[in-house]
Amino acid sequence: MALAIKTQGYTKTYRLLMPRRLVNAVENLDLEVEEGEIYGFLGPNGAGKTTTIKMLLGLTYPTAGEAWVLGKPAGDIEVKRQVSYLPESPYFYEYMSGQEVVDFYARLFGIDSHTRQKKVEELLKTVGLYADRHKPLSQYSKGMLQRIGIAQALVNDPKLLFFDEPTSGLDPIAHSEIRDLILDLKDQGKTVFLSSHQLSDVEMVCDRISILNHGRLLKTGDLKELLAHGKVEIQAQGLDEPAIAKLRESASEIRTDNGTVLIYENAGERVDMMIDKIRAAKGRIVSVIPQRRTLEDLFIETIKEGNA
Amino acid sequence: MSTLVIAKATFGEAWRKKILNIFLLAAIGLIAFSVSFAFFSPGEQMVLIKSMGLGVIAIGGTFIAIIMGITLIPAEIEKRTIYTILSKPVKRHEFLLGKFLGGVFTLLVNITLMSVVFMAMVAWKAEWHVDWALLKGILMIFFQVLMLIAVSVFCSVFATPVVNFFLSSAAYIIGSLSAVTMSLSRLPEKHPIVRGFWWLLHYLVPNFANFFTQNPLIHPEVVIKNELIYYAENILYALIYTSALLIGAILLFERREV
Amino acid sequence: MTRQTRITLLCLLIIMLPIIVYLQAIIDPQRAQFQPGRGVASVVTEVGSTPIVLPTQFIFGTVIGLREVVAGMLWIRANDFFHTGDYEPIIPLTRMITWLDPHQLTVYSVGAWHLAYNFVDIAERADRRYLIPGMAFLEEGIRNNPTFWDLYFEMGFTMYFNKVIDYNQAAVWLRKAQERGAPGRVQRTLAHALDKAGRVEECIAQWRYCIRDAERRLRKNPNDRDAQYDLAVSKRNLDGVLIHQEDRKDIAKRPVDIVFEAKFERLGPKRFRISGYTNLPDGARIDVTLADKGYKEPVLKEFTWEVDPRVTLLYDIGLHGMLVQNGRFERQFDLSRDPKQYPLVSPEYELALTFTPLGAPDEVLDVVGWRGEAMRAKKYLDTSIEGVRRIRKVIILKREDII
Repeated sequence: MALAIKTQGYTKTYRLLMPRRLVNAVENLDLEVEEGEIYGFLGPNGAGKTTTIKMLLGLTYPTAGEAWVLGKPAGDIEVKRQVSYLPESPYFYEYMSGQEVVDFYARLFGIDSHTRQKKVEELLKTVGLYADRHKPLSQYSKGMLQRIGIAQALVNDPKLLFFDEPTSGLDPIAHSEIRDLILDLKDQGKTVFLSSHQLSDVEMVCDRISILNHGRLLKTGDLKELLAHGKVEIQAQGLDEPAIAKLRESASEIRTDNGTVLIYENAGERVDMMIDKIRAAKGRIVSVIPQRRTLEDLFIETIKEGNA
Repeated sequence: MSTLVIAKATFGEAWRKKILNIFLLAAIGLIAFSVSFAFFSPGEQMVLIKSMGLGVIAIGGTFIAIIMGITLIPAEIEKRTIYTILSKPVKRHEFLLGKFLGGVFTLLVNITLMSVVFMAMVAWKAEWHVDWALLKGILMIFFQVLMLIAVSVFCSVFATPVVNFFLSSAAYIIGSLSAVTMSLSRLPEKHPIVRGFWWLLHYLVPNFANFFTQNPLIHPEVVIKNELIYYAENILYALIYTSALLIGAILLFERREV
Repeated sequence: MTRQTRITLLCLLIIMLPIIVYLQAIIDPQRAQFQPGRGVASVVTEVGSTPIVLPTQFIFGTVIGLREVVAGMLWIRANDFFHTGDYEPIIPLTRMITWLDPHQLTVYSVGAWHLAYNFVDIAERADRRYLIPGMAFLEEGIRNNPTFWDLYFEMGFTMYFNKVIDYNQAAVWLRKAQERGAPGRVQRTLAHALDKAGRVEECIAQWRYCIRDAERRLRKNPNDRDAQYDLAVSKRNLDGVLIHQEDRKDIAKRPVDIVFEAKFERLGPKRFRISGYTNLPDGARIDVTLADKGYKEPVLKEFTWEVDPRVTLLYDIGLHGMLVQNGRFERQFDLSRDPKQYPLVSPEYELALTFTPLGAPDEVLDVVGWRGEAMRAKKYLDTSIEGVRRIRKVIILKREDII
């Protein structure tokens, strides 16, 4: 599968004056995003997500490393014809109407007048703003502005879209509509690079994710797989205190509850090992249940591990 | 192409800026007010109307140029509209030139409006005889503020709006004191380094004083030698200086983090 | 942007810099034509020992090239002072205005007139000490505006014709105004000056010139009212001069012995009477001048309105001279109420009583001739001015005689 985005050793260092020090906003980032997938780019505030996106779009320049977008160096002017960007809380010229704004961005692509007119109309209908197209943006709600942002992001029928917090500040219905739109884009074969704090949205739409903190990539991979690698709960009964004490020495996590011993281990050999130890201590296995975790759990766990 | 699209959008936004509209209305009001000085002889009154009118257009143009120039680019960065534009196939220099041209066009429209009112007032006082020669002064004012807005745009690439306001104003004042910087650069009793400093200041800071050509327009009987050559030299000076500033701005903006 | 493009732009920038310097170098010497004033130097400066400072609110205007606007605003202020009779600030203002904009002809002419005419004593007699500064101011205006007739006319008419009463000098300046395209009234004034200077042939030639010029203008525009008026007046005046010329032909062959005597009488501290008798025709005027002994009028190279406060000058001349009626003339003078204008600190004074035929009414000239050709006198005949015969008595007074 061709890569939509590839970075190697991508680094952005800022030189601060007061106090004098170097800050790595992004550090040695190695990333690969395949074409046609929805890629979640996660991290707490200040992790370096927006900085990465800006570097990939040529808005900021990396201190080190390389990146390619749709096979060309990041920031290449011709690549921008096939790429679009919806920034967080987008701002447009307030005096323009919805129609004029989308038309303005369409003009930047050099689209001819006739095609542009049809395209603008179509996009406004797609984002549900056709009825409000003549109102100035100063009269638009936050949700409406976000939709205009999506419309301008689709004006050039891009192959790759960068969405930075596309559902920020929207009501649940709007959330859902944007999620559906993103899935539609995937069905059209487009690649979506989604940076978001809305983990529930990410969990619902993304194929693969990366988690970033302090500029460093902490985790990356297929979302289902990452969420599937949770712990296994082993319930056992009939174990005496000495046996429980012995198990405590080797178990990752153990607690008792009314005579039932609950042991939590990572899936794999350790589960088998604990089962053998329980049997050896003459205990009775009540159940062995794999625990599925949420993206939130994964996120928090990853960040904590990263901080440690 | 993108340059013109951005220029048009810039003009649309600038034209609706309240502060610029207030300047424009105040300037037009002052020009119209100047005809109320009725206690002079007709000759004296015309001198006053012409000098006030040209003076108001010059001040108005100066303020508009500075206020617009200091915010053209920083406002786009602060409001992040620049992201959605530069993420499109728009080169940085196209963006910068588009903003500049939009600002220049706004200036042109403002100066034209003030000039129309001014010329009409003068014509009315002269029994509807239009003094077309005044257009020469207005043309000089336009090229003067063209350089000024180029200074502001150049500074806006690396300075905040507040700092830029003082930089641009300082450049304007120093550039208006051409006679002083020229004299200081030639004083024999000064140390060569001091003279060298004033020489640099005189030749490198844009000389706005070149464009103060109101006097012979206010006193049309005054004969000027090689007038057209002077105007042509100044226009060329303004165009080359403006181009130099824009090239500098483009080079700096190319590496600017947005 | 590619590296190549960046280098190209940088090279372009480097090439532009010397072009900018070169253009500025050739613009610099030409700029003064468009900005003739003293600009920033006008902000704070001294005239004589008096510093004058531009009001703060105007300083910024002069710095950013709005000198003409500032000059206009200051002229409005000056106009206010005229209306309220507060005359002292007017001269510094006119000085500042003409420094900011030396092409303000009206300011020069009004400023000069103000100096020469408006500093008066209780008897509305102008302070003669201010005449020279007034003329110096006008001369500066002429130097800055050499091609305009207006200020030459002011010098000729307002100063020499009316104030100095020197018709020869008036004619010099009026002719310069005429050479610079002055209108008909100036041409006629020149003719009058020549008449009063006793230069009859030139006067007749000038009236004929006025007539030809008016006829030329009427050919261009038969409805030109000014030209019609100029023609009618010039023809009438020419006739008058020709008649007088005829009447006064060979007047030198009809001499008249002029009897003249005058005395000075002190009436009190700084109060005196001058009286006398003469056989000059009624309507003749006797000029009275009182000045510090040895006083010479200063020559000002550059305008200053500072005058010597210790000098005393009193000039009642021309139409302000003593009128001869029934062979007698008399006037009382009270200098006690104007100690600033008449300080009377010098130990000695020259009191001169003069009859000059130049500018005298026609009934007097019919007797004595245009230049006093017919005048004879045993006492006080003065021929110090070439071609002119005057009656002049000089009395030397001591300070105690007046005080």
